[in-house]
Amino acid sequence: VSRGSLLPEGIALSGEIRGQGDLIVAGSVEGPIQIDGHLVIEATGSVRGEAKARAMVIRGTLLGPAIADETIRLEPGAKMVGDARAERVSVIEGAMLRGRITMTGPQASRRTAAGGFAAPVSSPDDAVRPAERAPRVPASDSRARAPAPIDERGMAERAMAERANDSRAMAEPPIPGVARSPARRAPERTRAASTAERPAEPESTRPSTIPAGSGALPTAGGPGSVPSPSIAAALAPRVPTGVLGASRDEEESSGPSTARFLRPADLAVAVPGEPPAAPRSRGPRKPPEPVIPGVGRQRARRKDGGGPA
Amino acid sequence: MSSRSVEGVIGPHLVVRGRLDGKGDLRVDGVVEGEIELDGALVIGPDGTVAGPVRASTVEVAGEVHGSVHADSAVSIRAGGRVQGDVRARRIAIDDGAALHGGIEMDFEIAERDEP
Repeated sequence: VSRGSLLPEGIALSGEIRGQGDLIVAGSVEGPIQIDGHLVIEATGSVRGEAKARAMVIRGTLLGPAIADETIRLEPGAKMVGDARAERVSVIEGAMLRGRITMTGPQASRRTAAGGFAAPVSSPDDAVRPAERAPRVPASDSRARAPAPIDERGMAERAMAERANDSRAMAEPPIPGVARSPARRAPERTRAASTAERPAEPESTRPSTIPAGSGALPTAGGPGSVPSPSIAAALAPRVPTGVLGASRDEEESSGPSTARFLRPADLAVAVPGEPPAAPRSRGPRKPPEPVIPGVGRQRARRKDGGGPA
Repeated sequence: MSSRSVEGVIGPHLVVRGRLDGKGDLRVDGVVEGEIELDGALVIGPDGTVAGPVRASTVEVAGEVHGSVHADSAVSIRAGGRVQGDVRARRIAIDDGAALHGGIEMDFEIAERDEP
């Protein structure tokens, strides 16, 4: 823990913390935290104030907004009141949250695809990222292929995707909880992605740039190979997913929230089968979409009904 | 508690502003701008800096302290350590190579007869 810091249980700080390196808070902090490493708020830890870090794992209490460059993960026992913003945000069942979640996603997926971030700096929560990423890969694959209208095809593709996943998975440690979310996303987005209409994020410029078709082919070709544009394209679709959280105001989601995140996975299956609806312009869609499962379904329906029409 | 056995660390490159207090041991390798009051051992590492008054059960200074240092039992200023402020404790050790600008106050009594 050379560059790490620890505020142990029993010690309280009223003031601010800034700087570089990782920080574990097991005591209490009343004031803002801003570091460039990983921040872990342990079960005994509490922070009142804004927390900014590269990545965050919260098992304790956070009263205040959380902003991370990469990931925020709320683990069981976490109690958070405030908005969470990061490329990726995950909420494990048992965590309590009241606030909005904003995922600024696409970039994250790309990086992942590129493999650039495969190995984060060692820290307690390292595991988190790999896990989150691992799942995505598969999703991208499925997505890329998903465009195929036929169910059967979809299945086959999916199978292939899974294989691909496996190979990739080896490289990146899979995390159960996180893994699913990507899957669900993949299906939904399949079509949308190709159309290049990411609802919300302006940031996600790249995805739109890449032709959906091209993306699909390359992906199939070599999973492990270079992070080609194809992969990027595949990943791009997710962006919207990330955006989902935006609208979730003031929801109190403890167990439920988690469930929501995961449930969508189920939906995924249904989606792939759907015919590649006409590329409706999704762009116009309102960026903030509720994380609620129901919403996801609605979307799916839209695609079915509205899209083709 | 287990937590107490664990030493808190303010790592290098970390800046803490405000007041730190509580029970437990703490090591400062970064910067603390503010007051520290601990029921435990405080160690200020060679690269550590504290700007503010410090109080703990024991204090070991290998870095820098700008402010008073008050320990319930002992204060030691290691070689390379620098203290700008008054030091107060029952026992105080200042190693060769340490720098101290300030007063020292040690609690002890002198019986008159003991004096030469």
